[in-house]
Amino acid sequence: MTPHARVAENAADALSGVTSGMHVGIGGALNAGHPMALVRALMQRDLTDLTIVSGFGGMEIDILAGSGIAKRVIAAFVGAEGVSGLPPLLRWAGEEGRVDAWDIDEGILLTALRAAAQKLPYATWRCGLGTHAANNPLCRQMKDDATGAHYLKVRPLPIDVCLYWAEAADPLGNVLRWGPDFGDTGFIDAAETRIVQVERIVPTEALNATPDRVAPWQAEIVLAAPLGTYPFCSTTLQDDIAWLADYVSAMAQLHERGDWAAVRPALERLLRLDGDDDAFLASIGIPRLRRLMA
Amino acid sequence: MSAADDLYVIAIARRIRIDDIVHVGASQLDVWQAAETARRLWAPKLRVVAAGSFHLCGAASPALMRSRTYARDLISARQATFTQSRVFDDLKRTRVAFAGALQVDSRGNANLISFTAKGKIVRGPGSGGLPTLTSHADRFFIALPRHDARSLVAKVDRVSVLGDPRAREALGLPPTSLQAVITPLGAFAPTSDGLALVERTPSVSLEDVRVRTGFAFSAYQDCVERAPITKDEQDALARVRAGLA
Repeated sequence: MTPHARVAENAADALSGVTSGMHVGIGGALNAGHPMALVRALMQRDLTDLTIVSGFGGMEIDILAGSGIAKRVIAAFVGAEGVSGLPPLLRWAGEEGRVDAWDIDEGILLTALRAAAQKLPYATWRCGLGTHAANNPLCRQMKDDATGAHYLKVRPLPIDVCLYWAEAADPLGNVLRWGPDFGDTGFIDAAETRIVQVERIVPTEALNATPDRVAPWQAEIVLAAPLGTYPFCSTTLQDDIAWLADYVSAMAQLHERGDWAAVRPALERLLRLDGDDDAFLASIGIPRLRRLMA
Repeated sequence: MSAADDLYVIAIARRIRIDDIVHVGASQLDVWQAAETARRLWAPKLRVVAAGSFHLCGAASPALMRSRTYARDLISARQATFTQSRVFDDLKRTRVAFAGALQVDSRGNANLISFTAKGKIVRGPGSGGLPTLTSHADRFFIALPRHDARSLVAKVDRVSVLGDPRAREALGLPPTSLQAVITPLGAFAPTSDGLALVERTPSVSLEDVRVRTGFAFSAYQDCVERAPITKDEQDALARVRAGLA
């Protein structure tokens, strides 16, 4: 029987079941909808050897690649729109073998997640043939005996925990989605545990007005973290391009110096990893947040 | 923006047909501007998918077109909801994509994953959904906003987009889907012998193109000069950039 959802007291409480070595799916796409309150809390846990999985990741995936808690990053794409430069830490960690960065195509990733969600030994996909985006341990190129068609046999990609953002949820885990799903649905369906970070927790009755946007009983754990996608956009916030540009610049400078040991302390300062989400947002400042809320 | 940049965007726009559905990927502001320019000139009902949002028949405010496909206001103004998790469920009606690349090779393959330079592996952003988006597409392009021997190479280090007609055919994929590789200096078309130059920018000699290309290529006898940007095109592009209808 599926247990009812619970409301987490804070981000650390929400993540209490996450342990080293897990596969953690991160929701959101590019500059939007990443559960940064949960990502920051994840970085404050004493964890190692996580496999971080993302579809169209933003700089949160780059941050996690440099955080010291990830041994592998599986993502179709990692980048920031409106900011020049490639993801600095993922690039650096990959170059030096600090993180095992897989090449994967988004269609193949969704197929692997579907295989996990449907408890299949494998699923099949007819795209990405002949590319290195299919050159990973999940994929094997096959030929159909009956038709001669080439295809990929794609093994399931298990997701232990999916962390994602949504506009709101009720205490029962009914989730109010914004509209575009950012590709999160694949992770949500594949995951053993779904932890949603929302702008606000609302009574179930409040969801009645927009039933087409409600995903029923979708999350096992609900965390209220208003403005918690910062520096990424949400229904409440615009993305903070200046912050993202400063981040890319700061990490690129460390890369130029070759000072990997300075990465984690720099991330701790930038993301205020010695405090909770309020401390981080306070460091950004009310005027700046208000501009992004306009 | 220089005149060369403008002509590059217009060269992309000219490839867009009135009945296309154009896919604008991450950080593809040039493709987006090209699509919106085409919409203003010859494709008023052009269908554009800008990553997180559908904008139907040009009704979205042009002022919302930003450098980001996932900007809050743009998503809020969407006219239909984009479900990323099901984006590839309809391969019978794939969209027209203009793939970017770190490298493009003489066979028409593109690489967004990584390459080796001075003995070090340099990672790119990743292939995204392009391997799937281009596999069964009727038409797709590679749009490379720079033209140099580092980007246009004999053989890509890794393949994100399979453009090589022979390799595609061997895998049962439509062999002629890659229409052209478009750069600021010209355009190449795939042939059974590799890419051939079919269009050259005015004021750039064939020798200039050869020097700045990292592979040997043949030039079509009927290789044409890229038509200069027209006043209508220039005006339309300026209005797009100004966020005007």
